[in-house]
Amino acid sequence: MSTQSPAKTVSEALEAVETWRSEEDARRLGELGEVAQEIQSLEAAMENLRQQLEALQSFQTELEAKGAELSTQADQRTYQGVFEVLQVQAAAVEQREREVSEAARAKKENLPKLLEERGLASVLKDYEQFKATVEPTLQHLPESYKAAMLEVHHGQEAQLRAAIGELGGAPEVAAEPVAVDLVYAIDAPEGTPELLVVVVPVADVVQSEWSDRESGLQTLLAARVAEAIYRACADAGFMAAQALSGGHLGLLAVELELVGADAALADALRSRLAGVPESLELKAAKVALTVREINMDHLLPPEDEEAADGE
Amino acid sequence: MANEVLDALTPIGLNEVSRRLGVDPFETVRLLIATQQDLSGPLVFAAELVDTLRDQGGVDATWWADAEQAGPQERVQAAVKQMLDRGFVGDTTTRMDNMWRGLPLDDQALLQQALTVLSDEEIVRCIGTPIGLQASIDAGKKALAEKIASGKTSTPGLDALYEG
Repeated sequence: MSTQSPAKTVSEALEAVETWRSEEDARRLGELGEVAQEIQSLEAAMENLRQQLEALQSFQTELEAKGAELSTQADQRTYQGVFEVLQVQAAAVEQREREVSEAARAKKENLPKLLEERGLASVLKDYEQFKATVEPTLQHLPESYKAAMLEVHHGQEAQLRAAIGELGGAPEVAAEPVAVDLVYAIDAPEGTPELLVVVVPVADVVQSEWSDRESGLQTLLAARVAEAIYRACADAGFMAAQALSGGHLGLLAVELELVGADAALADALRSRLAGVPESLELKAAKVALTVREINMDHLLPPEDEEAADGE
Repeated sequence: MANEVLDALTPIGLNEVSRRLGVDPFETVRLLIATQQDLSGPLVFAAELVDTLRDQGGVDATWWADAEQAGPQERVQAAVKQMLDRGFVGDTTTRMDNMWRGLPLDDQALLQQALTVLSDEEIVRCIGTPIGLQASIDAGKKALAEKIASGKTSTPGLDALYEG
């Protein structure tokens, strides 16, 4: 407008203003359209970002859930893995038990010869003779004579028992060592121990059918575990202890409720169980036992855990 | 003869000790510890040790030598009566497994459950000791126990057990 020549009439002045206004309005409308377009673009971009955000949040939830699931699956796999290994190891212990029994039988058959080598053949003969011929007539003998004969007899008996105990002790087997694990878990959610579970690498029938079985290597291993448990309970003054045994997947499982026990019992159990591999029978049978404390989740079947949570 | 003599002189294993005692091997181990036996050597024992464990562990011969077959209710009533007749009331206790030793396995399981129920209902007291779990009739519940033994009454827990 500044380049235009000044209006000469009112009409020209009004026309000039109208022209200026039209031009400015056209520019304004043009800019308004551009802004609207820009806003629309930004809104489209925001919608796109929102959708991306939602997709990412959904994926994040999935990944988080997968993490918990992964943890459960890992527990299940560990549980299965532990028990599969223990089953194989139990079979190896059972086989070793047969070998030890065979060695014990051979040792027993050889016992008379070993006693003879110890110079005890005559003692054994006298002992047998006493049992066969003297003992049935003892009641008819004078008291003093009877006492003297019994004293000699008891001395021979003690001599023979000591020799037989020594010569017939845990037989050593000529075989490669068998490596097995003894696993246990102590549940202490509040800090004080509540439950002990031990899985012994032996067949469950060792305990469930004990009255029909002889005390083989498997029985002795289970007994050493029981000894460790009851000694630990005695150490910690936990007299209410009552170990319960049962089968789990064919293996011997031992449970002990620890509610009411002193917190020191957990350490006493750890210490005593750690001593089980030193048992004489295991060493003689060449069973190399490793004691491992593991998470309770890896010893209890998953459904038990869920049931316990639901209680 | 020689083999018989050697057998008699040979120490017996843990399961044989348990058979002679009438307790399971884990309980035998517990008794061996409670009576301070030396377990550092092989787990074999002189036959005479069985008597020591029996005496010091309070292991009774079976209470049911002449018992006939019985239903669950009758068996539980008879067990409570045995406790009363033998004077196991208040501070005079007996090993819990004395109550079922010698019975068929089903009856053993039944009496174990019944004792748990009666303990929960505070009619029987259970006490942990170094030689094993002991039980007695609660002195304040003797009259109730007598009624249970005679079949004049029962308890909700026992009724549920019989309906089992």
